[in-house]
Amino acid sequence: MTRLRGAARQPSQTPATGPPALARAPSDHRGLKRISARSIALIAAALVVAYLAVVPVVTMLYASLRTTFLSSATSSWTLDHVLDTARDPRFGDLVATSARYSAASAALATTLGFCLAWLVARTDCPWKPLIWAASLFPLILPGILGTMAWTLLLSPDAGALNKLFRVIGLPTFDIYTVTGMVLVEATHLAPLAFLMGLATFTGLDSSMEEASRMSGAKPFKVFSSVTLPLVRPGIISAGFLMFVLAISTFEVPQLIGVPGGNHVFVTKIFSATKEFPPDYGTIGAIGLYVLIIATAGLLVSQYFVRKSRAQTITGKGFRPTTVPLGRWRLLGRSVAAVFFIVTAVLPMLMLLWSSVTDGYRSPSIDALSHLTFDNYRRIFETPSLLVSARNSVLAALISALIVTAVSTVVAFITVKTKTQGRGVLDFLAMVPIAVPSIIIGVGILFWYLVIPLPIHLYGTLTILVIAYVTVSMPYSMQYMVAGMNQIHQDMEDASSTSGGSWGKTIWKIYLPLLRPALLASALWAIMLTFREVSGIILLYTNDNQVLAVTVYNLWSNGNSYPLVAALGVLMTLLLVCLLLLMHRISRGQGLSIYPTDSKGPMRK
Amino acid sequence: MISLSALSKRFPTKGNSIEREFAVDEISLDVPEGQFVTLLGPSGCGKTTTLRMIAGLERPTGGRISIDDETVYSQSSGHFVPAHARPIGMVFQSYAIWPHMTVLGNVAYPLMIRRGTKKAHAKEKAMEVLELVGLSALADRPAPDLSGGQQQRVALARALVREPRVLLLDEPLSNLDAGLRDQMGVQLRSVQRRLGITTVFVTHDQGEALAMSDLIVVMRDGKIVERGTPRDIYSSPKDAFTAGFMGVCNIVQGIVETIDRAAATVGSPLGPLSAPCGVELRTGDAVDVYLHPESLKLRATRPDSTAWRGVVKAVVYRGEHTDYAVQTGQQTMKVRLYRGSHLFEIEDEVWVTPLDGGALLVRSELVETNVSAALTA
Repeated sequence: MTRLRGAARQPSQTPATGPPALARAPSDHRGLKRISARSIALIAAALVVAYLAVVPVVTMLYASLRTTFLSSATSSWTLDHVLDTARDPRFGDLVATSARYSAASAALATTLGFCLAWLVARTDCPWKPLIWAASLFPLILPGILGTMAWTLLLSPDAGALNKLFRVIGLPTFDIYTVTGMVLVEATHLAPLAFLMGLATFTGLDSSMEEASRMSGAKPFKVFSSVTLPLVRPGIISAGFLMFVLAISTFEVPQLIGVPGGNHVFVTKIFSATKEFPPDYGTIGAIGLYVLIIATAGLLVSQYFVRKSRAQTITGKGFRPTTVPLGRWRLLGRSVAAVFFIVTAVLPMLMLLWSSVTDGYRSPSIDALSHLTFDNYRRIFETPSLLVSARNSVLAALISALIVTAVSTVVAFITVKTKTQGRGVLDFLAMVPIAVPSIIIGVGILFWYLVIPLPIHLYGTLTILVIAYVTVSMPYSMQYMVAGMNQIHQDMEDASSTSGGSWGKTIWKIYLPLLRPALLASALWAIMLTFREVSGIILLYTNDNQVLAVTVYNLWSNGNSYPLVAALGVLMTLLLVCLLLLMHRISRGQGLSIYPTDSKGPMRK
Repeated sequence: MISLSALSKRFPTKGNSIEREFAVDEISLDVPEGQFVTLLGPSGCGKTTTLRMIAGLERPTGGRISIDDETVYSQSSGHFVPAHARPIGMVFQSYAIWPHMTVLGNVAYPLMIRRGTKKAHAKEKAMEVLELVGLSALADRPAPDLSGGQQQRVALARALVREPRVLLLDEPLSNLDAGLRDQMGVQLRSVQRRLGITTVFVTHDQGEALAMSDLIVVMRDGKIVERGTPRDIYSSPKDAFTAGFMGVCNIVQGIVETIDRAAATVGSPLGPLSAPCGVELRTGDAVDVYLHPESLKLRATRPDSTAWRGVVKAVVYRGEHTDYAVQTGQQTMKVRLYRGSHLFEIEDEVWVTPLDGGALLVRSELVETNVSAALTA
């Protein structure tokens, strides 16, 4: 019989071997012949980021590996500091305390955060707004103020809650223990864990659970065989991130740990810098250990983030079904209320109370007759406080401006160009998130003591701004990368084909379109700057005090709690205003307030 | 006019920095002044890359581009004029209407960013162009409030406002609903005619290409397969790929038996077929005979001895026409009958005849001997 070729031949059967991806690829105007404004801007931003990310860490490492640092004596390479630090008999204690404190804080915060997230995302638990409000609180109440409030509540003798316990016949609680440190740090970290948990639970398609139920599994079996395995990577990832954050914090260990004789890495670094002459090698060596631990923790966390995504990403548009709590509703309500009271109400009330007492008094009926607004008046009459407030505002504004400008250009490079090495740049911009801020502080301190600059930066606002910019860079990057990703390549191309040069395109198209991201980044940087203590605690002198440091100093001097509290209340008010402003901006623009995409404060 | 000569774009293969693939492979093309030329092809054929290279958004890796006799890219001299310095206007598939400006702001932008433009003059000029596309009433609207069709017209106005020498259109109709697409296509073409602007249009839709173009350039795998007027490309494609892409789906293989001036008689398994020679042929050549579905006729009774017997295997009623799949011998033919023709049912016996001049010949891609063998078997 005759043989005929397939009659119904369609054009689509032709293999399309061409590269469809290339057609939409970012434009590429490499002006090799001339150095354009574009290349200058890109190179400058890249240099700034590399400088900020690399210099502090490298300087600190250098100091830890040299026989002497900052001295006229000849210096050579050595491992002595690193080894001696580890051989010190007290080093074992230091490691044990750091580990216990960080691991327990992380475990507690993660458990608490994920339980609350489950309640909010997957149940009909009442009073969800309370949990939400509490989750925003760490943005409003700086860690240093929260820690102070807790010591006022729970110090063994004078603590307001302990007095209450005594009255009603309960045993008192000594906050100056590792347990105390863990409890306070956990209240600081739980809200962040809650947000990460929320992302995990809302990213989990309920149809997977429904499929299990349709196969005949009972609710508990569904939870243990489907839900838990699916969210497990998310939980582990959050746990490791909390661990890294706990081991890097300064406020709780310094204000609660040190008075009770419990030292951790960060407080050890801090006290070592206060000795004279400072032992740079040992400081660097301890810094090296923290850096290794923090980096390792972060890498593990990232590994599980990726794993978690691979498991739960199902595309958007599904609505998670909620579990009715039934007779457990009351329990859910209580959990929400207790969480809100413990993380927000108690510390805030304590702060407010202290700010209106004349000389510190515990809350009591008697004390009511001694209330006064004098402390607030005194703030405005104390020149040094006004100076540090002015410094804070100035440093915050300048840092926010710089960090936002730099990350805009860097985000442009990493998102909108195909420049070689953009991956490295992206990585560098994220480095500071893995480096505990006290180490950034150490590195900056060492570096600016070493380099022969015509002007002395130590003790200036400039050096604080450098630290602030470094610390806030990764967060700012998150906003700007998200913002850049929302802008279609055609928006830029349409300007080019309309006759717009690169500079005009940036100015007339990119900046206006990026405005929400720019504002969010700047506001976040301002808030971060007001709260930040650990990154700058080694960099201030009397000449460049800022509010967070002043609060710490007044507190450490121990004789003006009411004044500090009043100052804290004002700071908190300011941060509330900033947060409300930010909320307004982010609401209309679909940006989240926290610079997280869905799985925590890191992008990848 | 636009002139491309040996224009190429290579890019590194994934995971291999030395080896490079062609996205566009040495294409040469002249777009005459005032003509509407369409680059047509499946996705990945290099048509959009070609357009973006003309725009200056993509830097070629070889060849030369000139617009109005001014060279804007030349590999040999290293000359490259960036997009913003070329005399072009471009409409994007996404329209790329800037959401932070009003309609007027979008359209006036190309004028406003020019150094020394007076604001009033720019506005006046922008309003004129908005008038041209019928949108002057919406000038003060924020751009995001517009419908898809309106956005498309704003994009066109913005592309035209600075009186470019060349208009580049990157699938500007593909995001519109079917009805609106035809309407917009007609308007686009009429504006282009009125202004007499040289235009390059990129699409993967053969219907758009046929309806709008002066000249269609069919591309595949980074190369130009064929170029011609819409009529030529549809009714007498010279290339099997073009025929397939234009939706000719009935192919009968055969051997040229006799040639009489412009027409040839082809021996095929279905019997002798007569068709005009589109290409130069000799007796004995293996050929593919292409038959458009609408150039076949179905009858219930045998009209003459050349008709092929077939059985209706599928019927798809589409309103203005009805598509049939008819089994003839080993082959299933697609036949399209327009409203008013007799309706057949599944399993009906039918007689298939090609309409006069409905068949066209393309030299077979198969080796001749195979075809002969198949025929004699």
